[in-house]
Amino acid sequence: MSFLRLGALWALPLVLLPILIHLIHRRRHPTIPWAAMMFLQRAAHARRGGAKLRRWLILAVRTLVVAAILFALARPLSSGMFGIAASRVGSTATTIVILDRSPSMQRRVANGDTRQVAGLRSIAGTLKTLGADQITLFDSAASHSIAVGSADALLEPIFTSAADSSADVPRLLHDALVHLQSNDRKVADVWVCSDRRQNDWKVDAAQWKQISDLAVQLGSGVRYHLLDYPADQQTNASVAVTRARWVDDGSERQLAITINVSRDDNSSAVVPASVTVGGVTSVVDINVDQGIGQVTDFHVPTAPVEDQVYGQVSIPPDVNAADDQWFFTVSEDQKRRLGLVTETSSLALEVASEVLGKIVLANTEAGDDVTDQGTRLQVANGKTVENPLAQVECLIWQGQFPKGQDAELVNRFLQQGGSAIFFPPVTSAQTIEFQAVRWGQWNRQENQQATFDEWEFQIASHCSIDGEVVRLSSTVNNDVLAGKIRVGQGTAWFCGADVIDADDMFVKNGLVLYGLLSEAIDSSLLFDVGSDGLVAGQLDDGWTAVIGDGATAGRYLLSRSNQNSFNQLGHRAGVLLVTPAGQDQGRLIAINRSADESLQQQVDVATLHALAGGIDWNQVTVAVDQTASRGGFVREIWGIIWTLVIAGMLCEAWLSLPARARRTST
Amino acid sequence: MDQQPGNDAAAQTFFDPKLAERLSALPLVARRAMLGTVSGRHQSPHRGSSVEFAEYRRYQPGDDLRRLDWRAYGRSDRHYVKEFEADTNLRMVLVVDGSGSMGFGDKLHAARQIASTLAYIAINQGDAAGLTCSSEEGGDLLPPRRIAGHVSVLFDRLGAITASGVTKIEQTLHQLAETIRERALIVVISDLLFEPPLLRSAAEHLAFRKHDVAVFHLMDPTELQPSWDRPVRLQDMESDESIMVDPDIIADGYDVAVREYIEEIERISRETSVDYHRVMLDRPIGETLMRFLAGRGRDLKQ
Repeated sequence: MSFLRLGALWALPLVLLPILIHLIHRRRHPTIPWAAMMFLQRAAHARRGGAKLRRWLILAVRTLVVAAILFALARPLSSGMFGIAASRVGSTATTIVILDRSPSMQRRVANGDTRQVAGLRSIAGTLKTLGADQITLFDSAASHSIAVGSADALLEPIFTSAADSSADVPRLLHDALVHLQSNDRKVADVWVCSDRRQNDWKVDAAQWKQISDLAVQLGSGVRYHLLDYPADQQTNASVAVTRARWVDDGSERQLAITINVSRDDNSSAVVPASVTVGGVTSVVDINVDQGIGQVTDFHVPTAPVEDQVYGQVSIPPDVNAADDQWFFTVSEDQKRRLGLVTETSSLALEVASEVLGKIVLANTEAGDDVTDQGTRLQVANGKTVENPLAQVECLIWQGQFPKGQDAELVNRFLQQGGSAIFFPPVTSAQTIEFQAVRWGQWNRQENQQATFDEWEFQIASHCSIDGEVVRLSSTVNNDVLAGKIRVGQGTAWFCGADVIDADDMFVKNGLVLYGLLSEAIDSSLLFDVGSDGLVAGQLDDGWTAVIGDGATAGRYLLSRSNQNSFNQLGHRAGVLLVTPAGQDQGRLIAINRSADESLQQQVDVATLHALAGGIDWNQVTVAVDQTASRGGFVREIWGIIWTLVIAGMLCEAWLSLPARARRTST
Repeated sequence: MDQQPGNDAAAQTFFDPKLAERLSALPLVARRAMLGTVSGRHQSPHRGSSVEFAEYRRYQPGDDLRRLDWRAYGRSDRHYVKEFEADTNLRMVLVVDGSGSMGFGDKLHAARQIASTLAYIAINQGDAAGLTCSSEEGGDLLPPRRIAGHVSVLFDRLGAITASGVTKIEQTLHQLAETIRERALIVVISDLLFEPPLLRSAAEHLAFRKHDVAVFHLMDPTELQPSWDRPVRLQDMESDESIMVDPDIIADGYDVAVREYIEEIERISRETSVDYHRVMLDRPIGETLMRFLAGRGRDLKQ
């Protein structure tokens, strides 16, 4: 329990007043000389227990009543798990609110509010009750902190509206703690309004160590309150376009769209997806089973003369409307983004990559030394990049299997839905494995017949694949020539053919190599919405590169319908028309939420403790049901106290009644 | 023998001559045979020369020939001696409780009234009256005497009694039982505020010594029905103890305690042949004494 008027508690010694009065009253009784004490002693002996108990009860009730009056004057707060820290907020403490506006926070709770609104409402109610006026907001969709004038301002549409960008909670938390430190605030309350999705909390961020250090430096005067949303049983579905491309069958050019739908539960369902291009809407039913459904290359007719089209795919609104739409643009020169990493220069792979896509990451002829260090990806493109696979949809890898940091990067890339195809090194090292698959011995002794789909072809040499893979191609000796395995949402492909020797029959033939590469590239779920697509909020990575430094302010041609109040460019999903300086024709940019926003995994508090040991999180459950008070986590409960006072006084009066009257009354 | 009490101021406050004169019409008699030193109106265990025939007894050598019944000799040709009841005087010892509780209300005054009146009646009818006060200091026994001047001495002693200390009356009675050899009338005037079994012990001891025991139990009406209407602190008159009393709480238990106490005192009195008289202080003393004297006369005739 905490109090708004803590000073009133100094009067608590007044609870001794009834006891003092009792003692004075005892002295005040007239003293009468009495002879027949033996009668009194006999009578008192018979009734001593009950009478004493009654006297003590009366004294206790009187003391409690006085205490309750003092408590009521101190304006007590019902705080639940909020803790006594609340009492400081209203007086001198600084309040910091870290707001996660990511799409996952737009999930609606039982009372119809989104998690973001419910959380903000609870925080605002609490701060209003406590009288907090120094509020600083760190918004996931804003680049700087915002000083908020009052708790009510937190409920303004500018803060309650949703963004489509993911939150970077470690960055926000770090900025908040730096803000406190730089302003020399030793007493503060930090509220984190977030649903603790892994995608937003980024457990592998390097900032956690700094956050922990800062928290230790700030000391125990800073309290951290973390909202906790009760789990609900509502099913949410999300939609994403994983590929949009032109398909020309000779007579007509059509837009082929691959749509993925995922649902929270594993039951089978049909989700109708509406595809709108150029004002024309087509509907396709997508069967969702085990939580995943996909329709591949859904053809949408478009005007034949258009070089650049845009549109959106949407599914019926559900518990989270923020992931029910996906925007895309398709331009003429759209190609898939490939990463090419080869231990030995492979002309065949380079040519095939250029034909099938666009190489955005290259590290060829890296040699064994770099391979051994496990840093081939980091030094790609001739420079060190923190996340080299961020723009890659499919990775083509020749050489020893990745290890160390490379293996971690590739593994995460596959988990997120990317695809990677591995070709053997010139000399295989059988001790290195990836996903329990190893390269075996080279077989260069004789030509062998092999099959891939309906094709039959000759190969002169191949490296065996050790491990359990789904067989795609095999030789007449039943050796596995090509196979694949599922890794998370992505797929790892393995092909034992020699792609280094330009004279090898497999390379010369080329058909199977192109077919295999094409399948691998097409299997990637990562689709950067065409060459002009961006992930909402990730402007640092691609914004400038796409539109140039001198771009004029963009204009949304399409966007989520109810987000007019939120105008942060780049944090709002839609199709943006940007006209770079000096150009007459604008460029279309599709901006969508991160595909990881659909992931349900949350960061538990134990993990947070491990990440930032200096922070003692105070979990506060947000009341989300219809009947819940919207007054925040704390409520003044003086009404209850006064009721208790009245009840106590009635009780005292009844106990003080003469015994005969009391018996009559009962 | 008309005796007048002393003229001191103390005697004037508690002795009522008119009451004494009126009560003198009723003799103070003993319920048991007394062993007096002189002839009196009370029955003696010995054969004497009164007019009350007792029995015939065979003549034995040495008997007074004047007591030989010649008519009996003529009828039976045997020598019989005619014996008569002996009449003797009464020794009365007044035991006045001088404990602190006797200071409550008019108890001590009433005790003085009763004691002085009975002493006057006894001495007036030729009996001996003595006095002892039961108090913490342990008053000396004023031996029973029948001379007229003893009344003044006794009244002075009565006037000098003060109520203080704890009650020692049961000790006094035991002491009297051992001290007084001759049979006597022991009149106890007390509020009996001690545990009743102590009274039984003392009464049985006195009865064993052939004493006739009478008890005047002084009770103030406010002790039976306390008039407190609010919590009060009651200070014990015999010690430093005090008790906070809430009338609402104590009332029922108090009534029960008083009732049980009185019943027990009466039962003990009955079982030990104590001539018990409850004296309510709101009633005239003369009424109680009248009942006492008349009752004893009635008992004697029966």
